[in-house]
Amino acid sequence: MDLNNTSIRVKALIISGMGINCEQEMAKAYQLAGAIPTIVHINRFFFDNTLETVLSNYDIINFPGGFSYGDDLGSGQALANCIRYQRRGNNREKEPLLAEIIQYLKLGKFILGICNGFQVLVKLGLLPQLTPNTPAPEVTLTYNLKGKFEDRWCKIGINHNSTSPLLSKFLTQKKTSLYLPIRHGEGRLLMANDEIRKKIQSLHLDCLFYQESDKDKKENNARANYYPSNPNGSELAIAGLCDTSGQVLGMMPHPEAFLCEWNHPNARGTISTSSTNRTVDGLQFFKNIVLEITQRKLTNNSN
Amino acid sequence: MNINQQQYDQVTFVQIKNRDNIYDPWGNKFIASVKREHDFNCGEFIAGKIYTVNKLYYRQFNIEESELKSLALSAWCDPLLHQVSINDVGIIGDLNNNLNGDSKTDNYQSLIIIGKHPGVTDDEGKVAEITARDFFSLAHFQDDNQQYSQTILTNKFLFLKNRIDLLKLRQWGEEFLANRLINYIIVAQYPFDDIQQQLTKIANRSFVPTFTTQPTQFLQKIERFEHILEFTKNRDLAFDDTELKSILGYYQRGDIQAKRKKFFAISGDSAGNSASDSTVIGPSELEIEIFAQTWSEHCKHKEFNAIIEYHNLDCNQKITINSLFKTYIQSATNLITERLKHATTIVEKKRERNGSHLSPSSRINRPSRPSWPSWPRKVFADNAGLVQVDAQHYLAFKVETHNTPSALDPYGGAITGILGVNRDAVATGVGGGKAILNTNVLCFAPPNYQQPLLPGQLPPRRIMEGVVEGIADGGNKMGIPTVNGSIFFDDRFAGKPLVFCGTAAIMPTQICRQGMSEAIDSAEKIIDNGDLIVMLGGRVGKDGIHGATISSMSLNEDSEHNSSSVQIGSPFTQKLLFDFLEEAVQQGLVKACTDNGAGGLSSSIGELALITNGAVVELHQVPLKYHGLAPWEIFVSESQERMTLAVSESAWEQLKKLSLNMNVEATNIGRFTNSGYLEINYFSEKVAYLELDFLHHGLPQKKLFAEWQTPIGKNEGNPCDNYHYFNNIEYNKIALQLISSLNICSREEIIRRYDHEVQGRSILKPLMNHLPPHAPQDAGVLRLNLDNESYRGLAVANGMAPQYVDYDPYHSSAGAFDEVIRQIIAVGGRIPSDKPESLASEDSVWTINDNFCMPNAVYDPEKNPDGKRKLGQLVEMCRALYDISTYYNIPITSGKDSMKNDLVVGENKISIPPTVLYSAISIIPDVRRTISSEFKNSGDLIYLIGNTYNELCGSEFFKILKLDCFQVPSQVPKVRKELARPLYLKMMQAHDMGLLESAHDLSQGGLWVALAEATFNSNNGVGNGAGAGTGALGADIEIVERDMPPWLYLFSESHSRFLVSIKPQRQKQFEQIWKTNGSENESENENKSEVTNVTLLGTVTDRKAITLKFNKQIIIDLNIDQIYHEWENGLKQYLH
Repeated sequence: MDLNNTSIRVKALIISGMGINCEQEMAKAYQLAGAIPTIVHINRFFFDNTLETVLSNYDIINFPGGFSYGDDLGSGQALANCIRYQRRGNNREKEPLLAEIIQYLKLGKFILGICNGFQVLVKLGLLPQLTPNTPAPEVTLTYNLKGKFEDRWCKIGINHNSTSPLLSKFLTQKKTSLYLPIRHGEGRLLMANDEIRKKIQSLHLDCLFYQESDKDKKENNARANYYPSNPNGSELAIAGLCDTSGQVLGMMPHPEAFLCEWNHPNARGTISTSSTNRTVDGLQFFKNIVLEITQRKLTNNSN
Repeated sequence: MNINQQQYDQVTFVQIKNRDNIYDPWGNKFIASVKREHDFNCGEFIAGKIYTVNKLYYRQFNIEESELKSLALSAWCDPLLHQVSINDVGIIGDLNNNLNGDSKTDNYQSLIIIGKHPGVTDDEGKVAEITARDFFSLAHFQDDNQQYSQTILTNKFLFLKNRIDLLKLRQWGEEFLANRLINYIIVAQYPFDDIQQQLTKIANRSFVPTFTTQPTQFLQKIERFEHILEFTKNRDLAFDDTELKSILGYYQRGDIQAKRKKFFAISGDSAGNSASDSTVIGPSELEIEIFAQTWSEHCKHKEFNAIIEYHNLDCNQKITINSLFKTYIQSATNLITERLKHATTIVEKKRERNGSHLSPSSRINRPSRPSWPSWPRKVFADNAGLVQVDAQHYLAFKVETHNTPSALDPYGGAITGILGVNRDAVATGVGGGKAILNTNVLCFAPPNYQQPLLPGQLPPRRIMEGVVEGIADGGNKMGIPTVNGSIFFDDRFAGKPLVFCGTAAIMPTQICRQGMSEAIDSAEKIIDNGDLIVMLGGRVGKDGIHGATISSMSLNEDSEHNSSSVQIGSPFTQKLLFDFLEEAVQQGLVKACTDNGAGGLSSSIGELALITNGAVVELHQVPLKYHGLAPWEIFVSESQERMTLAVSESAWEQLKKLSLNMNVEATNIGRFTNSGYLEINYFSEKVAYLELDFLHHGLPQKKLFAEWQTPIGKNEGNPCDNYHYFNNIEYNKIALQLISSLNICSREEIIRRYDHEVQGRSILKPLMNHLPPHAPQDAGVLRLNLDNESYRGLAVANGMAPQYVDYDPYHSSAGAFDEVIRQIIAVGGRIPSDKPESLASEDSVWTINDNFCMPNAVYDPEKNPDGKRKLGQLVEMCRALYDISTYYNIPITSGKDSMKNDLVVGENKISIPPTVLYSAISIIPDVRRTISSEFKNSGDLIYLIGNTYNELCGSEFFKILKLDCFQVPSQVPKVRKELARPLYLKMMQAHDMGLLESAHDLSQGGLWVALAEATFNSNNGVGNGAGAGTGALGADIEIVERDMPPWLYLFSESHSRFLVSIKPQRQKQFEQIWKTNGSENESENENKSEVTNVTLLGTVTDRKAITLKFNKQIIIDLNIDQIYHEWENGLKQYLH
């Protein structure tokens, strides 16, 4: 297939502004993965009618990490409010941006939220969204049990029962875990009730989880229940969630901060400097997404 | 309706409280702190927030209280976490379940509410307002809100189960939750009847729109010195007599008076109406304030520019120094720049010569042409030093201190410190660069400080916690990685902590300006007559008024009452500002920008106006947080997150539009002119008219006195003569004491609170290994860009050694300088050799900031009897800077000084030790080749590189034994630069040949500590993550040493040493390097009498223990887990 054909190439929208701060490395990640990234300031959706703000022109919408609105009102809350209530041109006659996003998802397209972006998707009710097309607050992300911001590399397990296309390539690659940095103060996932917990488990929406990483322990690779392997006290050690359609994925870890092998804290002395730059977990994450979406576009085109 | 009724009717209270069993770190911390510090159990708690909403404001959009209710339910709370109720403050209600009012309230006996004083910026309130605008589909940013700067205010509260004495509760609130400079506290016991009334009163003060202008005062009499003296004294301004006389002289000048009469007469106001020839127009209060800001220590560095009569008593030499800055700092950088330029010329000539008459094929071997200058692009002339780091980018680097604000309000002081230095880096040249790294060095009194606290002095532990939180929030919320830092503890920082904050930003070397076809050099600020002055960012309030002058004064117990000297930081506001500035510069809309830091508009406009030589400011255009500010307050306020831009008239409309779309307030507040004067108007009133030349060059030079004599102690001689101190040393015990001592132990608890990965550039992190044991590193390394094509990067390091300053200030400074060099050499950075190709190389570019922090060093026979000695220490420190900098050809590109770091309360004075910090960034040509500090493989050989001397004076070892070098003869570590440089060049050679597996520099705690830290590796060379576990490696060490006892060999803190490990098969190659006569033919006469020792110490093992034999006897035998445990917990035990 001709991956240079621009109609086939994956177009990634990356939201920026209002305190979001990981948009540039995220754009670089998509670029290195072969996609065409476009960074668009969130406010432009409300005053700018250029093609760059038309959602259906993109294959995947990305909410990067950062501190949108300084985390005031609770992390992700204020940006979620903006998306849920604000309309183009501040015009009450028009639909809020969230309605456009739901229309966009009906086209079978994708959304990824990382860290603060994950918080935004959760507060919007897009995750886990147990009833399709009906965003509702079912889970939340709140203060880490340690009560502090924390920067730490974690072992992230991949739930192989997950049906999300965004992770499907990892399943065929038989990849069970990733090493990625987490950097957050509010990453502890709580669920509204047992019913929601059971649904999340039975539908395998808990697609990424903190994994026990102590090699001395027998339960290596098990879901991590304790600090620091589970850095924030999340229920079911959840590090990432997807919705029932699999099109929306949110996660606390930062794959966009691991684009070359020398980013890894163990990298010195373990990797020969002469080795070719193999694809590391973070970049692989984006390559897999881009490959999956490309294949889907090709299939759709040939149909 | 009477006025009170109207006011009461203006407010809606929204209470958002946590649901049961929701973990709340804020409340938890309070309960835990009260328990720990006061042994009191507050019982269970419920935490939450109260939003006070200006209902009147929303009514203009036909939004009624019922709609505010649904706003609160749908947008301000998270239904999983919170319950919401309206207008029932003090009752635990729940709107979600229609239970407005809850009988359970009486289960909670105490209540504490923390809010912000009227006028203090309330970010959460602002965000709540933006959300309200989203909810009601109003535009984010409109000019409809001139009346109120905030329409929603927020409070936090805790209902506490147990009944608590109100005085105690208030005191604990001040101790753990609030700062009374910023916050008000309301405490109550059940029933909480009048709480809502109290909050209403406060809200009324905040929300009532008032509009008063205060007429400006003029000093009418200036015939006598006393007139002006009294005027300034009443205002607490830090002038000395000479300065006041000089100002008086200015106003008495005939030409000035003539101009003033002409200028002020135009307005026909009270100042000018009776202006006959005999009357004079004295200074306006605004003018005096402008002098105070512009001539403050903070802005003009009066002591660094003073004439100093210096007497060195050691060699009985007397010299007159005309400005420490010019003599030792600027001249060093100038000399280095000349050398680098000269070297480049030689390389260019060689290239021409070789290239012109050789065949094309042999031209490949000609000396390569440097792609860009290796000398600094801009030094000491802008907000930050500027060097070029790659083909398209400059790097702006600035480090500053924020000590006094951090002593008063640790969190606020530190966060405004880091945000302020962000602005310095980003506002260099045209501005709009991208901040890519933060660094910080913090000096505190130990958290277990036992001395009684003086009035106005905060407990050291609280200062540490607050400062760390401020640094973390500032960096994290701005998305700037904190790549490197350090913390130093000493009792003498109990009066004032030192908070050094640094930021580097990259910006394109060329930018296009709108309407111009050719790109221009972004390093220059080019402003033309007629360009607009634009203020950008946060609104102006009374915060931080007199910050620049306060930092020029000693702290005393009254400082705390001067509440306006505290500034409030808002990373959110600043992030929006930076995003906007980057975009506006890219669109070519900005001609120049500068930071509004100390001195506010007064400083920023004052500096930019020098470029065109004049400015007119319309003060009434400046957007205010609240009304009632006098003109002088508007001009000198240090309200944060602001910048001043120069914008051409043609670009203004577009810039304004862009600012509205990016939620940034941009206001045109005047014009640049070429009149030679700074003219300031406030509505129709003329309020200031000052000659720029006098304002900036009229400051009389200070004259100061300094002397230095090395203290007479037992520092000459051999400590071995005093063996009785060391006869019974238990090495295992001392080894563990050292590794857990506050100045050596792990900073992990703090490091992990700083985001060091954001932007994805991170290569060498503060701690390596993703699982414990984590290894501390010497320098931070990051990539410049994320493409696969280039792995060019930067190394960042800090060096400081105040522990030696009382014995030998010269070597305290030299040692700090050596420390940054050796840290960067350890990871794989490069210093230039004396060859032209090396000096001209773009791979040995360095940029260093110096930061001198001094106690009061102005001699006064009564108030400061040892002032001469302290200033003498500063002279010696500056001499060392010159010597080391010029020896290595490593330039200082920017710096700062902070001169009055004392706490004076009555007879008591706590003064910091004179401290210089060197912060360095240098080029790493290929980050993939950098080396970390920890051993990698079992079987590798361990070497000590460099010479160990009898240098235990000031050491951590002596500190643990409670010895000083007045009791035991030992010396301060000395920098032997003639030996160090060839050693560093050979280390570079070992790096280049790929021989090193690990490299760690030796500093506090000497060889033992470096060795222990180097064993902290969890992955044993197996690969990413696979070798996880606690402790995988150890070391077998055998030292044979006849001339030195083990304690000296192991714990001496001699400089310029490394601990390295290599693969055994590379032993020959490695040792060969040190046998040859240096990798470069050093042309100068190195000191040949001494040679560098390279000593094979032992091997890396997989035994997870360190066994150390000294002359065949095992003296240390410790398990790595045990060592790591001690190292890990040294500081952690004092942090939550």
